[in-house]
Amino acid sequence: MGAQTLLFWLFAAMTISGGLMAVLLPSIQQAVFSLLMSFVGVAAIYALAGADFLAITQIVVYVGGILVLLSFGILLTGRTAMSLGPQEMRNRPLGVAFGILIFGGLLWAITHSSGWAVGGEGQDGGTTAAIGRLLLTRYLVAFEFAAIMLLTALVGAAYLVRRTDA
Amino acid sequence: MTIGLYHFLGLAAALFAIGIVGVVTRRNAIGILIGVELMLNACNINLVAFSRFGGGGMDAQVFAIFVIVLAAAEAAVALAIILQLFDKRSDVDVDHARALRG
Repeated sequence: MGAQTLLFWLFAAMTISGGLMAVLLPSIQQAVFSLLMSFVGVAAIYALAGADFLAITQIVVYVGGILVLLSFGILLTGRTAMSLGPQEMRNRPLGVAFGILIFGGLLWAITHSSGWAVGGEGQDGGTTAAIGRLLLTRYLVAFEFAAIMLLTALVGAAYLVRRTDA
Repeated sequence: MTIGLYHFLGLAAALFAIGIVGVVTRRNAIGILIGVELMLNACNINLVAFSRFGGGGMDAQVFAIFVIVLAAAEAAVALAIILQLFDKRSDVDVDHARALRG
């Protein structure tokens, strides 16, 4: 068993266990901290697959941005979020059964389809230059629209949380 | 046994199913958002895996970057809505948000 295999299973276990805890723990704060573990595991999986730029982006955007945003959301709504108690979950056995069903269906689809692995394995090495070149040539329009969309989301979020009673 | 495309696809499938469980069982709106983020991450793992094992093209990774950008915007807007909901109803239980029910 090579180092790559060992690392893959380590990070896969980290991702899956973090995700499971994020979904099943009754406390929403603990769920967010478990999500941190899952996100870091996903970043490591990206790095293992040779996507170094995406791994860094994952850490910066998800861990540095979205998780902090979620923590602020919990702090600002915390009083009742913590006191939901045992009623926090709804139809848990049914939900877990549904999730297992989806997982089984996806696994069936993955294993029963041929021809997923087209082309060879990519080369290791930096991806940043290639991604930057693609973003500013073939995907330039999408890149600019993403910028406009981010600005719209920023203004929209600020507008949504404004004080209406002032 | 070396790690191949199917390992990544299986991991992504598991993470996606976990995200679905979170979305359908949580009552806290932030918990539902956590489930959605897990599902988006699962999709990104798929994109990265196909980029790696589909000949090494970078297009899939560019798509993954757009997914991350959309996830960031989605989280910001969703939290703004959740804060407004908390302001109006002083809880974030989605089962109580039924003002639009006929």
